[in-house]
Amino acid sequence: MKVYLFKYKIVNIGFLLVCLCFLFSLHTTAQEITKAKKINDSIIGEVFFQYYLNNQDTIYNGNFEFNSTQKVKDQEDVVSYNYVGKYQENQKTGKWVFSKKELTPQKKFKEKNYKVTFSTSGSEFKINGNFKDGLADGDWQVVNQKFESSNPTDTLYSISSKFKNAKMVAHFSAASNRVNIDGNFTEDGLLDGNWEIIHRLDNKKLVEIRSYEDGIFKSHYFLINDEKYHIEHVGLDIIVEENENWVDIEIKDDYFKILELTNFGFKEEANKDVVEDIKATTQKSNQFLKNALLSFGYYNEFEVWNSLKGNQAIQFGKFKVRKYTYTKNEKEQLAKLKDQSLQIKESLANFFSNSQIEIGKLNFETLNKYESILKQYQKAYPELDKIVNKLTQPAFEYVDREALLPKFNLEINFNSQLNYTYQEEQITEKHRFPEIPEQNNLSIPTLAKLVGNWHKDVVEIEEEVERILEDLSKQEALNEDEEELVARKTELIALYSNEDEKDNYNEFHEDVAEGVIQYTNQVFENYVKLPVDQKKDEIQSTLTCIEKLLNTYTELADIPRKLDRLDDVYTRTSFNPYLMVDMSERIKERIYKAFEDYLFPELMKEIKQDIDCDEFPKHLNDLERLYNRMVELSDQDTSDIEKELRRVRDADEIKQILLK
Amino acid sequence: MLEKINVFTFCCLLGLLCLVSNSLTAQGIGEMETALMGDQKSDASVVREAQTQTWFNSYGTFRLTDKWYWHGELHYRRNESNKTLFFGEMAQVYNRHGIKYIPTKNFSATAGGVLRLDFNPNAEEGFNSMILEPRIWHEYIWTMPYERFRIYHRIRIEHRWKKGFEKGDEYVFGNRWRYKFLMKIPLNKPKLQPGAFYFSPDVELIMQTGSKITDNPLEDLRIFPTFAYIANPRVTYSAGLMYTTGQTSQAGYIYRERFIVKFNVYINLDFRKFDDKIPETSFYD
Repeated sequence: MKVYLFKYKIVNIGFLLVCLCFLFSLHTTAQEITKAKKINDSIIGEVFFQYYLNNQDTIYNGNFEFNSTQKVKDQEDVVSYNYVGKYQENQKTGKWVFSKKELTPQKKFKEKNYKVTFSTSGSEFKINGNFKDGLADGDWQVVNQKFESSNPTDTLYSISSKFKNAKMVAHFSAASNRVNIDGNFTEDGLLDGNWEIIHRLDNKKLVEIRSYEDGIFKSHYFLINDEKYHIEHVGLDIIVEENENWVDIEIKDDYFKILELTNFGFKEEANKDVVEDIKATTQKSNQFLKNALLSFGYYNEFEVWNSLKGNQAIQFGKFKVRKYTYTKNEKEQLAKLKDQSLQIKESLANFFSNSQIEIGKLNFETLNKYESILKQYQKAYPELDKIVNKLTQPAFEYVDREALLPKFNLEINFNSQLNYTYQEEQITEKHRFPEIPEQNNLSIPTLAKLVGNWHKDVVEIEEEVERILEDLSKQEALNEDEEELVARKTELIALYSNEDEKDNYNEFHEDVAEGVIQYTNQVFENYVKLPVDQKKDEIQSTLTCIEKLLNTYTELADIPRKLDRLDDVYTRTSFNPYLMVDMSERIKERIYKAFEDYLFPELMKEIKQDIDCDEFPKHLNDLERLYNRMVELSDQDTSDIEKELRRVRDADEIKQILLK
Repeated sequence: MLEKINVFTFCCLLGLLCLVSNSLTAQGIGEMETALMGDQKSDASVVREAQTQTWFNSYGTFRLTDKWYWHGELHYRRNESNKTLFFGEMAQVYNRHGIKYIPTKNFSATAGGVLRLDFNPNAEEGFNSMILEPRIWHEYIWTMPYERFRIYHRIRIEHRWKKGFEKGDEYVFGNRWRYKFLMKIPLNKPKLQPGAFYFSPDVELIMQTGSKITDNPLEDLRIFPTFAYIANPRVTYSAGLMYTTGQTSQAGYIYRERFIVKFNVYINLDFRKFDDKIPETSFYD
């Protein structure tokens, strides 16, 4: 029984081992693939990597290579991106090389194995790095070199640092043609000790020292002939005390902006001439240091390692600074101040780029006044913009505002007495500009108040200007219509006055001429008296009115023709063989007489009485309608109508009978 | 020039009319005949005592086609009697019909027949109280339109068969040659149109020929000044006193005279279909 059991166990263990081996073999079976890949959403290349699948997930494991070689559009130049390295369980490991080349092929080329190769000139940005478990670890180097005929000719800069657990540690050095930087990091990746920056300016060597202690900026000076020339950083706290809020910030968090904000040059006035442009020099240091530190992970804006699979690989050097957290009120004030400043800028730009202003100035005195005010604002705006930019950048929260703000020299002056010219007249007027806070009284609230008042004044002026320009554009829009109105009115009066002694001027025109001319003048006068706003509303109706009256002239001119035609259609001509003459006679005489003797005279009387835009054309329409009806009746059986018209003398009654 | 001549013609006719009228008034109708008869001078004319008559005439012109018309006249004529001047007794009923052709507005030609009924109310034994006189006639009218009036020239030729009232009288064929000059001068309107009164001086000379006509070729000279009114294109009325004189069949030197009151009505109707009545020129614009 035991033997049996033993045998059974042996069989079981053997089966288990076979299964494990199978699973292991499955797990470690490496696969390779070469395929097209896009990194960073823009760079298309060919990737070769080794991997295995785990629950349908691709696990990078083994060699990795990526190459993208693209021709620059419309140019001969070629840009290539190359990665070479290894993954272990999706984590970068061991030596990795990134290279970006910008090359221009030369005319020389050679063929080998059916491949034509060109020599090139250009530059290469190259990172040699090491990873451990996906984190930067070990010695790193960045080099930017120039190439001529495929051979390196010059090194633009080289940077080296040591990493541990992704943090920069120990010594850091960066060298370029003009600047060399040497410094150290603590084990936590904070800048520490003296960072020496050597500037080579016009054969002159300047040594700039920035002292750090566990990331805290301690001092900043230039070492010239063994003598220290200190740079004043106002508002930058360098001593840690209790209850203070100190935070680590990375380079990307605008650390160098803090340095620039607080940098007021040499402490001693007498040292001003030691370095020609101390601010520019220190800014160059900042820029180079920032770029050098970031170069291990960035090529310009391109994130070198984050574009590939794996964790964030690098932490760049860190600094420790005191944070002067904004109050809620200050945050609101700063946000508002920023918006208002932008609006001021926009309003000023709008005003001074608006060509209508120049036209409007000729007619509107206030535009000249506003221009005079806004010119002062425009002149002062750069100073306001400068301070608003300082106040609203994130770095400002890391400086002692009480210490820093009074150091700002707000060079803004407004002259409340305005002098401007309007229609060759010199005008002097007063304007109340916002009050400029005293230098020692500069604070977020006082500056917010200044910007607020400035903004209010500009916005009020802008609104007023808009209104004036609107009037101006209304007036411009009206001009064309008004020209037409005047032309039409003149034409109408000329027609009814029979100035041109037109052939079609007749007794009916003569009857109403006085009334029409009087009414036209009244309509025109009423329009002219209107304010511009209402003119825009009224111009079309006034034009329409004059147009209607003009039409009446044509209609009146047509009356004789109509009467003649009625005479014709109500006349029958026949040949009288006895007298041997053509003889005409009136037909439907009762209808014709009713129209001729009662209706038509009454209509003309009404026309004469009701001369306005509505009634006059309406009466003429009635006449037209009756005329058409009369023509129609001439050809119809009208015995009933004629019967009804017997002894009818009233025009209205005749009208009703005829229009039945 | 032509206009002046016509005005001159018109004035002459008026003058002639006045002269005749004055001579009648001065001498007296009966006196003149008596005086001539009494002298028994063979080379002098004898004028019978003037007769008076009244004619009621209706003239119809009915349009049949564009240029063809039916012309129809019906005259009712009365003669003086012993007791009554002008209207005393029945004289004639006169039917004239013909087909008129008017190719232009200035010329017309008509041909047809006449049947005249002559009455003899006082017929004695051996005489007929009524006889018939048939005629064939044709006439040609020219008009001369002027701005204010019209002149008409009419030539009418009649071929007639005439006889006396005496029983057993035979028809004798003869021809009448008539020329008429007349004017129509509107008085209250610028032209001849409905509502117009017009004056019409009218002179007609009627000559005759035939086997029995020896010394009396001048049958009649009619002078007829008329006043007329155009009621409408279809109806015209006129009235006037016509004076006529001419040689009698009794003897060439014996003249008869008549004063005839004439009432005329002229009716013109268009018998065409409506569509054909549309005038040549359009009235519409």
